[in-house]
Amino acid sequence: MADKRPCVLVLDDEDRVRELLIEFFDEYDEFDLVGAASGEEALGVLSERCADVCVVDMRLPGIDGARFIELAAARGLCRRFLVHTGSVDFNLPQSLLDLGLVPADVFYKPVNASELADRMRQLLRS
Amino acid sequence: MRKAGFAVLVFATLVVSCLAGLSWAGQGRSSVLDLSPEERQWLDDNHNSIVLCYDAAFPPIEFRDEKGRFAGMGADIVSHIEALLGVTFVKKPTEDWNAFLKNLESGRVHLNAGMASTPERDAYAACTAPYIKLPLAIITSAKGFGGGPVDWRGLKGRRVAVVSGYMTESYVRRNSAGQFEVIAVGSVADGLRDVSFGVVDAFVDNLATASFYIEQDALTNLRVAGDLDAVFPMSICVSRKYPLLLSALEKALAQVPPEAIEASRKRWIPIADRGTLSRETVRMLGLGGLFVGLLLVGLVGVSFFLKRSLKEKMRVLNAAQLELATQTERLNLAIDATGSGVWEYHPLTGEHYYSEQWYSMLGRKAGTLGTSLEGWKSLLHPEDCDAAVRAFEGYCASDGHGLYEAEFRLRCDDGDWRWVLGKGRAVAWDADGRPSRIIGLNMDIQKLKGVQEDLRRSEALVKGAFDQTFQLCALLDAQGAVVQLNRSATAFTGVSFEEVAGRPFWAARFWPDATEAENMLRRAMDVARAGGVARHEVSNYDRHGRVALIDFSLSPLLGDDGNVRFFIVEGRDVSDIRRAEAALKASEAKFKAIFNNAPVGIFRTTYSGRLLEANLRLAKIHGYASQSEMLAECKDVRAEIYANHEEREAFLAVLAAAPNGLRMELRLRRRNGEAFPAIINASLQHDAEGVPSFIDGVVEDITDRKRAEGALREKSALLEAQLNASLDGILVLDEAGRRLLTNSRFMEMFHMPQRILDDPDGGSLLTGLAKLAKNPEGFLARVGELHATPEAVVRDEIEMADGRLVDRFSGPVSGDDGSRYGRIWTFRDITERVRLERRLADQLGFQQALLDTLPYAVFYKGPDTRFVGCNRAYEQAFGVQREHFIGKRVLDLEYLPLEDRLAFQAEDEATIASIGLVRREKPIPFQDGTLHQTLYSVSGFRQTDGSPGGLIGVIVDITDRKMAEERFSLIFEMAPECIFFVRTADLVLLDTNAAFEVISGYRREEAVGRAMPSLGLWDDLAERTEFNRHLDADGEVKNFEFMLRRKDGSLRRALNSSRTVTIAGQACYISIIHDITDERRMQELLIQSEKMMSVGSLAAGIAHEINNPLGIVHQAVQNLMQRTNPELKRNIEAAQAIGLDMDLLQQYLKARKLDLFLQDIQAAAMRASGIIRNMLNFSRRSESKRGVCDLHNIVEQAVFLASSDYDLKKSYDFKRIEIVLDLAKDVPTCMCTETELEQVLLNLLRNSAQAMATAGSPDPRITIRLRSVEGAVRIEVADNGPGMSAEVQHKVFEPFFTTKPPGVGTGLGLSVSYFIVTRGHGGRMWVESAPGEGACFVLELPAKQDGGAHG
Repeated sequence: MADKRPCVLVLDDEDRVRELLIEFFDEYDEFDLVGAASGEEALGVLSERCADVCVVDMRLPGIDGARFIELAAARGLCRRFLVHTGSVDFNLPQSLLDLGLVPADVFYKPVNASELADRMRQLLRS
Repeated sequence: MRKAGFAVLVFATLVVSCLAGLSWAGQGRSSVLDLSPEERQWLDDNHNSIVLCYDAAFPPIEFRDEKGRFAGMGADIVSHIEALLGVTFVKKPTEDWNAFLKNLESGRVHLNAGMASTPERDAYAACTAPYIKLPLAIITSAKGFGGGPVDWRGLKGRRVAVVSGYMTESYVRRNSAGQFEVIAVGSVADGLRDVSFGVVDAFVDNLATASFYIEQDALTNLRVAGDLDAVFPMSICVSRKYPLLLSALEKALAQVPPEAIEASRKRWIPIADRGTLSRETVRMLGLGGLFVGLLLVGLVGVSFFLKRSLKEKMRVLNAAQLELATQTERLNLAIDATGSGVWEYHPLTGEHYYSEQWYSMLGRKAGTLGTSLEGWKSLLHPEDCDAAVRAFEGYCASDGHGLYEAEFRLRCDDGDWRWVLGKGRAVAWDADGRPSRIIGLNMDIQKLKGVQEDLRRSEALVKGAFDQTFQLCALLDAQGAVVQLNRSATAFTGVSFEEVAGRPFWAARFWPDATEAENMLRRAMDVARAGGVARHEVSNYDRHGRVALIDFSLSPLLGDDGNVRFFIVEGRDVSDIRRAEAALKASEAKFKAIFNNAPVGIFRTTYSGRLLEANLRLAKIHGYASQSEMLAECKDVRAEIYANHEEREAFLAVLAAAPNGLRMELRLRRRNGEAFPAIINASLQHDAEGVPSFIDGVVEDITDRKRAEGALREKSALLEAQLNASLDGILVLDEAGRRLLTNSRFMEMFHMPQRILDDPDGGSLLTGLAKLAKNPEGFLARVGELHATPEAVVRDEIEMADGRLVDRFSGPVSGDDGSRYGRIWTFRDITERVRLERRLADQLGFQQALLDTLPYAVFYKGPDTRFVGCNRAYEQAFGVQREHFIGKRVLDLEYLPLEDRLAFQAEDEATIASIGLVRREKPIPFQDGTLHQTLYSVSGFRQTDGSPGGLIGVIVDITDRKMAEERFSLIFEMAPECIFFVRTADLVLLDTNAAFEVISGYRREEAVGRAMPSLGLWDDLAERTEFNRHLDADGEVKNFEFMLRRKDGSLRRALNSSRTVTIAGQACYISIIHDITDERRMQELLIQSEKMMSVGSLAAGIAHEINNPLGIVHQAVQNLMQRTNPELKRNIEAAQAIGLDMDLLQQYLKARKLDLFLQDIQAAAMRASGIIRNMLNFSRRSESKRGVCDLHNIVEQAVFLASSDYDLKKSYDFKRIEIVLDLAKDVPTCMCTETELEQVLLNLLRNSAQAMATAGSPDPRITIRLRSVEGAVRIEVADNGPGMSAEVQHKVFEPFFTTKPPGVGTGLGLSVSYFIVTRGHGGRMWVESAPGEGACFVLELPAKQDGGAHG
């Protein structure tokens, strides 16, 4: 157990946003990182391996971020989610509040990535 | 008991199969635990991670107990093994057996201690030898399958449950062979519950587990329906992944002592100790033992009591023997005394013994008859012989139970016959049950027989006499029961003797009422007992059911002792006699009644004149109180009855001529001497010799009749005079329609010719009359109708052919006694009267219609001030109806206030008296409850004789007119627009309204009467000229826009609409001025706000798109900084790999300011996203946070925030600025979001501070005013800074508009503020400024509707 690193999935349709975040988190040497450019792709990735945390963009082609979170949670593919959005007017919908997301889990772009990492660590401890 | 039986079956089966599992245990009993080094090593390596998974629901083998621990027989064995191996398994319960099997297969679970080996499982698990074998059983509901045993074939077509994944599942599926449906369930408990609820028909599992649940859950509706020839071997099974564990376990299991296994089994599956008895059975046996014990104790007690009772019986027996001996002796004495003889007969031997007494009874010598029955037979009377012998032999041939009894005559020694009563009884019997010894007694009854014979003879005699008499006779015993009834009685009543024999006499059915009869008879018997004879007349039914009167008597028959033994009843039918008597009596009574109650006097006198008989009426006629008084006092009818002698003589003479009857009127005399007229009807009786002897007669007093006749004559004369004096024509007809009477007026009216009157028949009169009528048929029909209904009284009018109208009355003519004599007709000529009446009615109708048509309330009163009438308008106005108040004075009208009534009354009186006129306006309350303004006028008038005739009043309702006046005046006054009238000739202001004062600043008093030009309202005279030109040309001007100069010189933009009119003959124009200054400003603001809205929504759309690239920039910088950090391990490693010195790199970055550039990029990206966020802040406002706010607090808080703002302090020297707070006290509260308003005020303060600092104002000052205005609260933030041009004012609220140098402001502060106030709070916001005059930002927030003044 001890040598196993938590798996983090970064879901963002903007390739560079996704890649830069993965690059950044990877430097910590504490997460296994995977990326997905759409909700559908992310669900496929997760069915291969469950993730411990998903960092999810909201505006996505195909199913949107909120729907992805609902599906992933319902299928037991991941239990913790962070919202990473470019929409300044984003508010947590009731369905996500029901899944236990709180305003502290919402990050507006551009984000201070180390804060995002701190929140992930906090969630993983619980 | 069923349950107990079930338990027995369980344990019996277990005993057979269980110990089979122990056979293997003996092998390694004494060997040591001999683990190989590999096994030991493996165990040590996996010391605490060997996972044992157990079935949480498989009792009693393995299960999770109520404390959550591993329990059951398997658990016991595992704990031994753990001790032997020195390891502790990790125990995990499973609810899902199939999941467990998977885990066992994968090796995640190492072992299980309660499962059976099957071919499927062998592939992945290996098992030790079994430690117990559990038989399989079929469980069904108690009543299922008819309650009988069930085997595989019995399950055909049924639903059978098994636990999914258990060994039983595959076993049962193999055996089902498609014959029944196999249902997999989750656990044993589920399977049993499904059977219990009928979901499945049967459940198969091991008996131990099934019975455990049945006991635990008290599933009393289940039963073990059959056992299967299969067992369930329980072993410890290990995943094939761990062969070393298996071998170690096998070795350890071999070392577990069999006693320990047996003990565990006893603990979980209790059997062996108690043999085949279950706990329940043992309990039952225990109860049985207790019962037996109690029974023994009871028996001892019973025997004790029996012994005591036996002793008591012995004592009684002895006493009885003694008694018996005494009685035998007494019997012998009795036999001697009665002269009876004892005999004894032995039927088998034929021996017969006779006692000495027997011989002496017949006067014979003892022993002369020998010892045979023949001796007795030889003495029998020939007449009795057969019967006596038959009776005796019959008894001997019988079973001899009962008594032998016979009467017969025996011959005495002297040859006489003697009656003997023989009695005997069998005392011994032979093997066939026939008497073998009979003992008897013969008793001399000769004397008794003699007495009986005498009695019979006497009885026959008496009975003959009894029956022969015609009297109805009965003999009753002393209690009244019938002993005898004679033939006459039975014949008369139809009741046979048998029917009543022995029953009470009164119960016989010839008594109409049994109770009454009983009472009568008992009284009669009492009389008879006292020695008397009771005699009554009674009623009985005869044999035809008719009631007959019986002369009844009852007398006693005394016995020797002087007591009554019998009662003799005698009766005689007296019905006919009584009936004849009754008829005579009735006839006499009738005659007497007629005589006494006759309405005429009846008498009998002797021819000579002596009064013999007189009835009550005769006595009364002559003035006597009663018949007896008259008979006593009236001695001689000639002097005392007849008024004069001659008349009597004449009467007698006539009577002599017509002795059979005469009728004559003559005068008689009363007791007081008064004479009166009377009519006598009389007849003369002659005696045998033909000499006149009696006069019988009837006297009628006709005094009253004579008087009535006189009165009638008088009345008729009177009537006739009256008739002829009448103005009405009168005709009286009798019932048959004949004319009885006509008066002279009748003759005149209809000009009846004399011949019609002379005709005694009414027919011609009627037709004559009918001819005069306009409708003769109708007239005749009516007459016929009235004669058919003699009681009818009618009054109607008939039209005559000559145009006259005649009032006709008709009614019956009746006497005082109700008798009818005919019908009276009276006729009155009403032609003239009707004509006048009609004219008057027409006139009055016209008058009323005229009055009712008037829209004004009109009323008129008589000289006594009382109402005579009114019109409909009056009724409607006051809600009255004329018939209700005609005759009343105004004083009586309670719907008017009392004061008014008194005043009106006084006025009425004065007006009538003076024939005056009153006219004035006055308010009067109408029926609708409101006070109406009226014009009220009354005037008195004179009658033809000049005296006051009353008054006429008119009330005119002028309320509407008044109201219209007031309404228009109000509209003019209250109109929000300025309205004024100007005289065209001299342009003088004639009148204006209140709004004029507001718009012009002039007070009305100072403006009205002045010439308009002198007020200088037109700022631009060219505009006025233009306006006047239009007005002159068109007569009206609409919405002429002009600048209005107020009295104080300020300018307002206004619209002028005017029209020329003529008022009271003067040419004028009327103008309406509408101030549009504020509207214009609102319009401008609206345009501005729309402009900004579109910018806002555009920004929201692009925010996301901008943020993504900003994110990339920002993230890239972060990554750059991260990867040039000299402390991070990866960086150091990567640098090392290429030989780069990290410290040198750092120095380079600093030297070339690369680190600063990165910071710049990061700051710029953050600022850009900040702008976007700010810009969109207003689009995220929600109203939910709004609450009632204290604006004082908000203002103070905003000032505080501003003064503590570092940026403000540092850049704009905020401390130097004078802040003046001018906050009104009573400001209404507002609904608002506190933080947002604070932000707005902070923005304004910052804005002013920046503006003043930039311009370098000498004494910077910001004044914040808080005021209450109409429906709103106004906040003004005013500075004395540089102010702004009109152009700037127009753009000041636009987003990104800024006058500050780039980077100093976002250009969003005022836009956001504007949106907060207008969109967020529904308020208004604008700026008032001019260059060099400072700027004043004004915001107005709507006041809370229901909120009171603040603080």
